[in-house]
Formats: sequence, C-alpha cells, structure tokens
Amino acid sequence: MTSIEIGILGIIVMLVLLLIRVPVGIAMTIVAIVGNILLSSFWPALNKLGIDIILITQNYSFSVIPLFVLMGLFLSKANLGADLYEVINGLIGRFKGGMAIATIGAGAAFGAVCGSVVASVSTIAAVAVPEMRKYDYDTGFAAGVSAVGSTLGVVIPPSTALVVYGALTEESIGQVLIGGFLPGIMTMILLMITVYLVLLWKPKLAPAAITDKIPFPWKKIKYVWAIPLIFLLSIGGIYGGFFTPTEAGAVGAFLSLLFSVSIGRLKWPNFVDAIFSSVRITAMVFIILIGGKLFGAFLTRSLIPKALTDFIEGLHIAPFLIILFILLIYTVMGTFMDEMATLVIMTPIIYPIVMSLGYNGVWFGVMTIMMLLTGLLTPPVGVVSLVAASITKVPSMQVFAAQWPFWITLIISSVLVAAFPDIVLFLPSLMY
Amino acid sequence: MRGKIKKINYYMQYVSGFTLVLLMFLTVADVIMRSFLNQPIGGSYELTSVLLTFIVFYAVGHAQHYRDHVVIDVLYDRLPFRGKRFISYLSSIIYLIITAIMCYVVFFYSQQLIATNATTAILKIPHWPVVVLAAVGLIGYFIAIIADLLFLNEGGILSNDVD
Repeated sequence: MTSIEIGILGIIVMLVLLLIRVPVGIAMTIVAIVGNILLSSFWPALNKLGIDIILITQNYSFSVIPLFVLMGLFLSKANLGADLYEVINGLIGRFKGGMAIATIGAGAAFGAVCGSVVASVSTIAAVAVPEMRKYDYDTGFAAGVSAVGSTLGVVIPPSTALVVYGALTEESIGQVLIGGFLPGIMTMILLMITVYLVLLWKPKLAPAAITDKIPFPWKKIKYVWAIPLIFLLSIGGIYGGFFTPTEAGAVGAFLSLLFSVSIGRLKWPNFVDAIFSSVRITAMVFIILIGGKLFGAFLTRSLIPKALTDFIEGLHIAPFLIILFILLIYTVMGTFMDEMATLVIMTPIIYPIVMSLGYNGVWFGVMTIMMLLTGLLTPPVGVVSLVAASITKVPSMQVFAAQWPFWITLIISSVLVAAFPDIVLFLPSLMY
Repeated sequence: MRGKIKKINYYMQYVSGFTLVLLMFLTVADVIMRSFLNQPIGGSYELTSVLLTFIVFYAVGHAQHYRDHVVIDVLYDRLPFRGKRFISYLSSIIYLIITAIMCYVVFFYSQQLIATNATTAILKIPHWPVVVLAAVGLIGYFIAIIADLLFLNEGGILSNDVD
C-alpha cells in the first residue's frame, strides 16, 4: 500500500470508530498508532507514541486551557451571570425587545469570561427566560435567544476552541485569542439588530415597550463590575504583551476566586466543584488534543494534505471559492458533530490547504470557530439549543424554530469575516 | 468492584485539583514577582509543564466516569437496546486496549528516561518520576473503562448520563 492509501484508509477507519462511539480523541489516537506502524515499523511507532503523549501534556502553551476554564467556572459557580443579566436588563429591558437584546448581551459577556458554552447558557437561560415569560415574550423565542447569545463565548476570548486550534496548528495562541474579539463583538451587535428586525416582522413574539417600571438592580452593581475588569486585565494583558496566555488565565482565575470569595458567593463546596469540573474538562480537552496532534502528524506522514493541496491547486479555482466550500463543509459537519470533534478532525486536513492558498492561519482559525458556532444551534446535535430547551422546559423544536433568523445572521457574520479578514487581523497586528 | 474503581478515580482527581490550584498560585506569584520585584520565579515554565501532566492524567479517569469524553452519538442513538449494548461492548473493548497501550508506552518511555537520567534544564527535575506518575494516572483511565465493562455486564448501556 502507498502512504496515501494508508492515509485514506486511516480516515475511513477513524470515521467507523467514531460511529461505534469510540471517543473522538481515542479514535484518532488508534488510527495514528496503527497508521504509523504501517508507515514505519512496530516498535519505533510505539516508542514515539509514548514520547508524543508526554510532550503534548507537558507543553507550556497548553497550560492556558485549565486556567481559563477555572476562571470561568469560579465566576459561574458564584452565579455572576445572573447578576449580569439583571443589570443589562435593568438598563434596556423596558424597550420593545429589550429583554431579548439584554439576553444576547449578557450571554456574550458572560460566555466570554465563562469559557464553557454549556455553563453560560445554563446560567443565562435560567434567569432570562422566566423573566421574559413574565412579560409575555414568546417562550420559544426567549429560549432561542438565550441559546444564541451564549454561543458567542466560543469566539470571544478566552475560548477553549480557539486555544485548541492554536495548539493544533502551532499558530500563536495569543494572536488567535485576540483575533476572535472583534468578530465576536460584531456578531453580537448583528444578533441584537436581528432581534429588532425579527420583532418588526413578528411583533407578537414580544410585548410592546413595557410600561411597568423595571427597577434598576443597583445592588447588583457591586457584583457585576468585576466581570469586565477581570476580562480586561486578563485579555488586555495578553494584548498589551504583559502576560503570556497562561499567565493571563492564572491571573483571571485568581482574581475570579478572590472576588467570588470576597462577595461571599463561593463557598467551599462550590469551590471544590469548580476545581473538579475544571480538571475533568481539561482532561477531556487534552485527550482530544493528544488524538488531534497524533492524527495530524500521521496525516502529514501519509502525504494526504500535500496530495490534497496539489489537487486543489491544479483545479485553478478562485481561492475564495475554495474557502467558501471548506466553510460549508464545516457548517454541515457542525450540525451533527460536537464542535471540538469537527475542529480536531478537520484542522489537520484543511489547514495545510488553506495555508497553501496564501491565507492567514489566525484568520482561518477564527473563521473555523465561527462556522462551528452555527452547529451549536442546529439540530440534531445543537447542544446549546438542547441545553436551553432542557433548562427552560420549552420543547426543543420550538427553540430550533425560533433560531433560524439568528442562524442566518451568524452565516452573514461569517461571510463578512471571510470577505474582510482585517476584522480578525486588525487587533493581532497591533499586539506587542 | 465498580464502586472501588470510581472511588480510586475520585481520589486521583484530588491530586489533579490540588495541582491546578498550585499551578494558579505559582503562575500568579511569578507574574507578581516579575512585574513588581523584577525577580521572576526561576524555572516556573518547567514547573508549569510538569504540573500540567498531573492535572491531565489524574483527572482523565474521573472524566470517563462523568462521561465527559466527546463521543458521536449519531448512529448510537438510533439503535435498539441490543444494538446499543453490542456497540458499547465493542467500543469499550477497543477503548480498553488503546488505554492499555497508552499506559504501556508511557511506562516504557519512563524506563528510557531512567537510562538517560534526563532532567529539566533549569531546576534539574529528573523527567522519569514525572513520566512514571503520568503512567500511574493513565492506569486510572484504564480501570475506568473496566468499570464501564462491568456496568455493561450488569445489564446497563452506556449513555452520556453519569451511571
């Protein structure tokens, strides 16, 4: 068998293993081990496996993952997401659609610092949907909006998915993280505009301007002010060159701990829960990362990425069309696969092609994550929508149905980022 | 037996959690000392790398009990009960073999490190004990899969819910 045939066989075997429910990272590891044995020989391949496993888990750059996850879980366990929603809702909730817009804003802001989309949507949906129900918002619309807003945390730094992309491609993790900021903010604004447009089209989904006075929750300000400050210190630290991403994660986690304890919101059981959840998420991400790195190395040895690159270059198609086709593949895969799974499976295959077309790796990373974000909302696997449906007891089909205008907005936002790469690259270009 | 395995992984998770807290404080202390005293902690990068190993490998078994590892359920969800049991057995056995291989190769690597007596560059921490301890952590992963097989033998099927 030629090396390319071994590579193709490896991809097929991996897909079969995924279908029989072997965990993603393990399926990729199996293919990498067997493939490397076929491409070299038995003992050298196994010997290299042991070395690679340890090198990946001892990579300093990857230590950013547990620390940012910890930061988010401290804030989440202190229930600060709910306070954030109440404050934003107190500011704009009384306007037509204001509560839905507040939900998207709070979802984006809390999702950004939280690090876990599921934790973010659980927090925001639990507080925002009952409030919107109270004021006669359509329940499907309310649950849908809470899910949509929370997904933005996947793009806005710190984002585990962006770190994993950086780790897989050896792009600068700091630059990839910072690159996600402007697209995330732009998407948030576009989603808010979508709320306005949807309510112009279907005014019955939300009440007219609320005449009851929604009291501004002044008492909550003392809890909420720390969230943007912690975000600015940690992410601003990376941007200004004061911290490595790992240091930013540690400072963010430490400040979150300090603040949550000082306001009396983080008791011992919550603290332990946050720690244990963080290490479990870290272990899960690293098993995927180990598999992704080993699989990527195997594919490179099999020469498949090179063959694919040569083939695509030979087609003489405009690079932009190829990028659009690649992003379409990501969107379709994202609808039935976990976003992390799609990311680690596709990146080793697609990244070399994108680089050969002359595109920027940081830009493509953010683009990839934005396309995967749409998959978090679409059936059958749209995990964020399902969590929102489960927490709010709204039928999942109602949630999915309410989200399609927002899904189109996410696609428009991705197309804008594809057409204007500077939306991603502007901030990283100014970094120290 | 299954309960004992879960307990072992539960306690191993404490090692991981304690190490994470240690990593946070170490890194913050390094930032403070570098920024305000112009005296960074020597070898903090090396320590971070070592600590990360423990964080990952001592939680990986417990993550398996909590069904945290990402699986694709597209086919599985559409299968009848017997089909699910068959797939669960098949995937668990494959999973068990691969975790055994991972344990073995990491142990094997530690033996090579003993022979070469390799250490980290600044703090001169010997590599081999770290790698041996990583392999011990991976044993937690291996026995977590055994617990899954025992659960299957008791008539259960694997799902994303913690059993």
